[in-house]
Amino acid sequence: MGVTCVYSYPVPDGKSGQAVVEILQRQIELLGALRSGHFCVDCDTFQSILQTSINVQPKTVYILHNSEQPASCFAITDTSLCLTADTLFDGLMHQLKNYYQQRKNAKMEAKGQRYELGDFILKVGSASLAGSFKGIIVEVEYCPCMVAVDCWGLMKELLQSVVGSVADQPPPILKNRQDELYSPSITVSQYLDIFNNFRKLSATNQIGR
Amino acid sequence: METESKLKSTLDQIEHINQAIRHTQRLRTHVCQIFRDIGDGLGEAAKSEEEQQAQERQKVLLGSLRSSLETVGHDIGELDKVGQTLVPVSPSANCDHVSLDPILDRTPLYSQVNTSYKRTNKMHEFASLAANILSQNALKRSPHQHPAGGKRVKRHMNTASMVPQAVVDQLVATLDRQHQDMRITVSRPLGSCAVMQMVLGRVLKAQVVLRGLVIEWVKVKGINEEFSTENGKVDIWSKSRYEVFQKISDHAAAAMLHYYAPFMPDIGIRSFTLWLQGYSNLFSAPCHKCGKYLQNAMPPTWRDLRNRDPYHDGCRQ
Amino acid sequence: MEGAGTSYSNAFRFVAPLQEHLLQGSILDAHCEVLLHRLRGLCDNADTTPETFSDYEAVYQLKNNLATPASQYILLRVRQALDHPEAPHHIRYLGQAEVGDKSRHTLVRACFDVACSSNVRDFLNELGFKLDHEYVARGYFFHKGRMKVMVSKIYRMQQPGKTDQNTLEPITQSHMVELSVVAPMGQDSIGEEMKNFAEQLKPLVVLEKFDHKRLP
Repeated sequence: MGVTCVYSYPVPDGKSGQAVVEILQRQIELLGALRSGHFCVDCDTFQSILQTSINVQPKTVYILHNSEQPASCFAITDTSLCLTADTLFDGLMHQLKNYYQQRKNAKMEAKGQRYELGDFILKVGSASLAGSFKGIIVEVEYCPCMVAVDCWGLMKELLQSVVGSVADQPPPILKNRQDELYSPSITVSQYLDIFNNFRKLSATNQIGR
Repeated sequence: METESKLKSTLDQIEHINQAIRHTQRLRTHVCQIFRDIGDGLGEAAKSEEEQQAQERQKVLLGSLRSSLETVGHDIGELDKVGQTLVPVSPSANCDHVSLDPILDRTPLYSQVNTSYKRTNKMHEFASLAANILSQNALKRSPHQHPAGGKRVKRHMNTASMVPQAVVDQLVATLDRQHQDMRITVSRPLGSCAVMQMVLGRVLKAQVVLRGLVIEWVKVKGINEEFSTENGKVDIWSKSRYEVFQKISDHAAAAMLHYYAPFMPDIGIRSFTLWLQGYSNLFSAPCHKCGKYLQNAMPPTWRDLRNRDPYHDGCRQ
Repeated sequence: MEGAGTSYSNAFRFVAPLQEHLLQGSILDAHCEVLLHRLRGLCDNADTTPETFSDYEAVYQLKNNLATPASQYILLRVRQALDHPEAPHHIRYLGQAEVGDKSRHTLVRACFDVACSSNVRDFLNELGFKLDHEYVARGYFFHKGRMKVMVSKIYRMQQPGKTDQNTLEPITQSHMVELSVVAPMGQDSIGEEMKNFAEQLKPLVVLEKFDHKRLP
């Protein structure tokens, strides 16, 4: 559990998502990383059905799971407050079905390969919303370090050799929390940020058509 | 009176046992004789002789056999008589039964002794080879000198390690105050040797085992790792999970040997602590030589012993 | 079922809920020592001193103003150990108890116990839960096999949020005794076990099932 940076890698026009994922994977393998399994991060949305005033958006809670922390479940509110609980929390959310309902067809998933390079863990995967491909996600974790501001230099060096200029700046979520002791809830918040961006993009695409 | 009668009875017992042994011997001889006679049989001339002489010889043989068997019967009768007079010995203590222990027969004593002999020989060989190689190393920190060396040198070496605990505690307190970003605590879970736990900012944790004022052992681990076993006891052996800190542990061992100053031991510890404090920028400083952060996915793990500049392991001179 | 089989977490989602079997009673403070001795003899680990606990529990309520009366509100209990600050917080959800079933000796209700990080109170506030009441419970707990016995004294907090000794005031002059077992659904023999254990504590304390809805 070290400092983690999560980025969405843009798919250039004319190429399929799968092809770009393969290119990235080959690049990582060239660095000398060894394959060490798969990873999966998924996200469910629960929306409040309590009636509040008309202009206020109903409250949403996002429930995320990360295969890197298999015994935990993360719950994030729309004010970015993150609760880390164990996996029974899912059952608890189902008990709240009269107050918070799960949004159908809103399940986002990021799945792919996991690599290890020394003390780094690299992940390349594709994100999909209800089964349809939305984008590519790259994650790099440096396990020994717990403070983001210390190791941004070396993370940037490694990231740039994998994703190039996408990693010029640390991810926005991490920028605000650079000084504090890192915890998995920050990683999961970064994923949620990216998922929300994908959702907005697909919503605007649909409106555009 | 009692002791006399006891003495008499024991002497009687001994006499009876002797008799019984003699009778048994006689019995054995006679039985052996019988078997020998039967084994000899009628003799070599049996084939060439006439019938009558053969029959006579047979009669003689049978006669002697009969008399031998009678003697044997007589001997058995006498042995029986003596045997009746013998009293079974009451077991006085458990030690009597030790002689009945059959395990001794089953232990492969000879082969085990053989193996251990071979092993000790090999060990002697290896030890002498190792002593040869290690004696070439000029950096010696143990108080045991080669017997050929001067005796006066031996006495000086000992003082650095036999320092009262209060002095060590005081030194540690000074070091703690001196370095603002390091928190140092001392404990003595391993007897009289002090164990210093140092936490350097939010970068690493180190555990240093001291013998008096001489550093014996250093282990460096990440900030989120623990130095205790599952039972909560102090653990100085387990390596860090991360390659970075394993490398730094090796470097720290090299530094510990470099900063060994037997005549000014507290300077040795101070320099070592100062050197270790140079790791506060482990993840944030690029290498002094090549300017990059990473080499083989490792940050600059070496700190120069004189000026604490960061270098990659492959970039140091 | 959406995404069934693609996410491993599906396996955990629909885990069979656990059920809590409960018997409650109370004993005056003056006679509590005798009860503790008896429990010490009956329960496991008779040779060690009984374990004490000091917990701060807050009950949060979420009201639903548009649904049917059956699901008007939901209660979640957040419990935190005051004597072990590094232990995680717990959220407990207790369902409605099935009453009216005379064959069951104990109160049976669905039970979820989730460990979580310490920002749980803010999280529940964000979700719309409001603090209903809170209290501090201190006492001893014993266990015999899978049965847990808690002898606790409940304290009212005079100042909300403050749990130091001088702001606590005991609510009654007695200790509450609870015998509970958390087990997967469908195991009804536990009721017999609990009833037998409760018999051994009579006449010191009478443990029985209370219908919480009928309390004044």
